[in-house]
Amino acid sequence: MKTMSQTRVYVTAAACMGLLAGLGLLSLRAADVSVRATIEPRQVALGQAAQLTVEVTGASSARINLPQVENLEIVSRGTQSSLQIINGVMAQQSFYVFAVLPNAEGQYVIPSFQVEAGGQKVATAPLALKVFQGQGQAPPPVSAPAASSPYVTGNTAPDPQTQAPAPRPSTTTPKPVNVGNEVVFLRLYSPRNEMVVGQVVPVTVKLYVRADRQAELVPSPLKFLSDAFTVTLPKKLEQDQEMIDNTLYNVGIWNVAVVPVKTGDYSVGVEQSIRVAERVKMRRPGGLDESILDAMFSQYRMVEKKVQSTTQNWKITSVPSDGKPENFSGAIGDYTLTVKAQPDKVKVGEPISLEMTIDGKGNLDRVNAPVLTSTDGFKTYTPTSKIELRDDLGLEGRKIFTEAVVPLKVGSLPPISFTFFNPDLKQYVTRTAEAPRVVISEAPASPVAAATPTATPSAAQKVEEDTKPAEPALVPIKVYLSPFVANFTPIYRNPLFIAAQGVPLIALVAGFLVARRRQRLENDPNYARTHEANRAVRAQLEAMNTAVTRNDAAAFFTAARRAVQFRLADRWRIKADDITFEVISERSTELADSLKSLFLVADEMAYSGEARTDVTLADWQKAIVSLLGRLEKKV
Amino acid sequence: MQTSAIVFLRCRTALFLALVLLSSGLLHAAPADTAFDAANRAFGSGKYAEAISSYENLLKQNGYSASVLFNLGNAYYRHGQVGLAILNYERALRLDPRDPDIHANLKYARSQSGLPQPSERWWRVLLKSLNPSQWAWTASFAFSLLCLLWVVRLVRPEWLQRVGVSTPLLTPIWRLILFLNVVALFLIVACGAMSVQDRHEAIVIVKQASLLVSPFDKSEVMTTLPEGDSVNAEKKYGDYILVRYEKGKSAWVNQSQIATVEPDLLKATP
Repeated sequence: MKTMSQTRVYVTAAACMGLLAGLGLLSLRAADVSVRATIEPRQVALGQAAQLTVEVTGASSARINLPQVENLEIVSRGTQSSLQIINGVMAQQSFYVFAVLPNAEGQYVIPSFQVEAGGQKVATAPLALKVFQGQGQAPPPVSAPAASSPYVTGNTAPDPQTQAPAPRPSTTTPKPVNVGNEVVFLRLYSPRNEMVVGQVVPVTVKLYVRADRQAELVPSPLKFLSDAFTVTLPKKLEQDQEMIDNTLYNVGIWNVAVVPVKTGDYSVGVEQSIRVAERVKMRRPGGLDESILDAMFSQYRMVEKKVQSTTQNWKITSVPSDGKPENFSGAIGDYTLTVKAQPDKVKVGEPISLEMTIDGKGNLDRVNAPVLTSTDGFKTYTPTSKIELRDDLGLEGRKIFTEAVVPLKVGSLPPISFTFFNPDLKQYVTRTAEAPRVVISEAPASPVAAATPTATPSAAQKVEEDTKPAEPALVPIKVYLSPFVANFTPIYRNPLFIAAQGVPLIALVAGFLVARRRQRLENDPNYARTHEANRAVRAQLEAMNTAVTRNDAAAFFTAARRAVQFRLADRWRIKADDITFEVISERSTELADSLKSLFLVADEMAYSGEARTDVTLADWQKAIVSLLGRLEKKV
Repeated sequence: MQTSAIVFLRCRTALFLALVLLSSGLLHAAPADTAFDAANRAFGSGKYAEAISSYENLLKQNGYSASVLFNLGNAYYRHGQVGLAILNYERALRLDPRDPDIHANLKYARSQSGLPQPSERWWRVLLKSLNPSQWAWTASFAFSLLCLLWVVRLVRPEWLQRVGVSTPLLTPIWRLILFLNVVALFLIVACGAMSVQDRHEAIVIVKQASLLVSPFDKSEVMTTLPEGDSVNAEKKYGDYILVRYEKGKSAWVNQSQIATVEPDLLKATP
């Protein structure tokens, strides 16, 4: 039961609406009607649908006069309208969506057709559509994983869409679990949920957007919600359409290469940001017809959303350590090995160029060169390589190694092997290729020797004779690098070398001097005594120096007296301990006068322990050194 | 404590210096090895022009190596430039005079070019068994050994006795050492004298070198020499080199037609 106040509100609202409608009609009448028809995608596989959208601006309704095109079935998928008021001016826009279903391949043209709207007839531009035969045979990329692939979907139940190679829009297509009536959702498809570190796994991610909604991708990359992988994204996003539960979806497809980088159990999902047109409802009075109000008071605006897929549980292990071959270098996948060699006849020392091709699916970038099963008798060089991929993601292709091998003796090339881990078989596989036949013959020691074989040639020499050219050949190139020198100038022209010869000469002269001195010490007692006295005096002078540094007067004068005693003992040929002041006085009055004070002070220090402060030790040192010098000269 | 700390610091410094020297050596060696391998691969693939370029670059960047010069000689020979092949074999021989491969290919290249094989007397062959630098090192080592032993004998004769060299034995040993030194010194002098001659050796690197009367473009041609022939370069004047091509016969030749075995040996006289 409506009250009076409610009735008053409705009447007021209706009056306002009428006023607005009147204003709108006036505005629309003044505005031109424009029509635009588009078809997306412009190329489809037979069995898939394209979407024809007729956009009418400036009219509340329109009549579409669709043409008949042979082998094209055009089915209406609904209408979407919006009314916008911008700066007081109303603008109405309608989208008429049709599914275009081809029945045969070919190049189609949907001719221009008329749209009657707002009392006007507007013609559209013709539209082209190319239909090609089946999936995977035509220019547009395959949109869904192959039916034979054991894909696991991100949803809790398998999706029949992934098992149908031609997902023609159909009402019988089962609705994916958890999709409901979602406008946008994301799904992750993986061929396996158990992987090994380093394995390259192709993964497909599909973004579904309901066809009646405008949407655009935010320019940010597809994000895997786990740090256990490195991801290689495709250069461009593929597009397709799928019909799910009577609803047409535009589908964006990423075919991605995923490489696990660490072991463990991970819940893996993907996330993508997208802007979707969403209806924004405006405030409206209640109780009126909702469809009319929605049309009048609603508008669409682009809303950014982060869409996440459901997660999958992936188990990542490392390659087994048990039974790992020594030459396993990290290659994971399934490969074949072929080997070529040229030339087919060489001499010892001449290089053979080996071309080894690893072909297959897997982590080609981590594939190392195959190896010779035995390198005895061969010098091998670091190979060069190039990769030729058959897809953008690096899932499949071949890697060609070129390696120079130089035989060091007569023989034949050993087999060549390559080891990888096959994740499908869960075991290591070693491919061994027999090396191409290359005749290796002995190199001539010299051209003359090569030209004159011995009378009884060995088996190897017979082979050599078969392969020998008509005239003797050059001795092959060297395979080992010898040391470098800066120039050809002989070392004896180098001044440093000449100077260095002086060192042993100087040592020899020094040796002579030392020997001569030693001999004199042994044979000349006077020389030996003087030598000993000099050594003793030098020791006492050292002690004096130390005493001066420490300001130790007692030690200083004791050392000074001993120095004089040693010097005079050498001079007078008596024992140093026998030199007293009395002895000095007896032998030289002049000397006694100059040494008197020294001996007195030394005795004073020695017996009383008192320090003299009237003179400095440094002055004493100078005087004593001078005196010792005079005594040495006299000696 | 202080002493041990100083010893530790010294050891650490020495170790650091050793590592720096070692690493610099390794860093220097690695690219040369790689470039050498690449040049050899080019040679093996029959790309002789590419191999020549690679070997020449290697020499320009690292100096001279007997194996690189030898391989360069082979590459030039395969490329049809016999004069340059002989030149590089000669250069390789200067560095490694006992390598039979170099001798063999030099002999082969000469014979293929119709050049006479030089015959050398035994004593020259003996002298050439080592290059002048090797003789110098040998003599230097012998002289140093003599001096060292003599010094030990003078200063610490008991050391010699301790290693079993008794005094009566010393005299013959000294005589032997002295003899070896005299021989080594003789050889180095002889080798030095000979190398002065050989150092000026030059090889004709064009198909035919024109020997001129005077060092001018329009000078009269005295005679011509075939590719790979050797002459003795004496001096340089402008773009011309005075060469002695036979005993007592000299002539001028444009410097683009010959190359000295020791590169850049002659200085131009303005």
